[in-house]
Amino acid sequence: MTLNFNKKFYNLKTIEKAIKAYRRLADFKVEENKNRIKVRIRNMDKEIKKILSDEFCNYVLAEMKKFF
Amino acid sequence: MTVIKNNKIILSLNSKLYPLEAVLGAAYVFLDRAYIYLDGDPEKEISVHLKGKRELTKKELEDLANEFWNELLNYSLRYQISKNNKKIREYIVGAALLGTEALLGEEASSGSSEEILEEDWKKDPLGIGIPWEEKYLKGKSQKNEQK
Repeated sequence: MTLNFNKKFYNLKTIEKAIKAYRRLADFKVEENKNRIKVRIRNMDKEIKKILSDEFCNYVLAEMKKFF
Repeated sequence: MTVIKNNKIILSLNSKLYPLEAVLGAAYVFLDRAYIYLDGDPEKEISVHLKGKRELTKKELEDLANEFWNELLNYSLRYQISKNNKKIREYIVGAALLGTEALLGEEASSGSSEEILEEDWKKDPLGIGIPWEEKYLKGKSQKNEQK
């Protein structure tokens, strides 16, 4: 699964912070281009597979509060 | 404009009407009720994806979106007021800080702060400088002597 974060709303530091918090639940890989930050999520814990990506997005958004 | 699909409702907002700060403010309020994802261009059009944390009907999704619009309006107003009041807030804080400075200035003009402090502790109006034995045991020792 890949999540696409728009750099105009999300920043890399926050995403890395979220990955640190979620690192035990799955494997994360970050790729960055000019406009977007791509987060690839693999080997997710079966029990939380359905909600992991959505919860991850919310976590990043909540962390973004500190930057505004 | 709104799009509903897969337990998700996508709202498109004109960022000239709703600033990014207001969108983020409203989004934070909904973090515990929905999964939120932002996309688009903060200078033109912002897309807000609201996904139900449980399976929601079309009506429930529309209600969620309507509540989000209201919250957005609330935050837009708050943002606008804080923007309009920025100067007066800065003035009040500035005046408060300058007031403290002026007060210190007056003290300085009437005598150096060291002199004032020296005078104050010499007076000792609360009797802090008196030893505990003198203050409290004097009466007791006199009573004991009388006995």
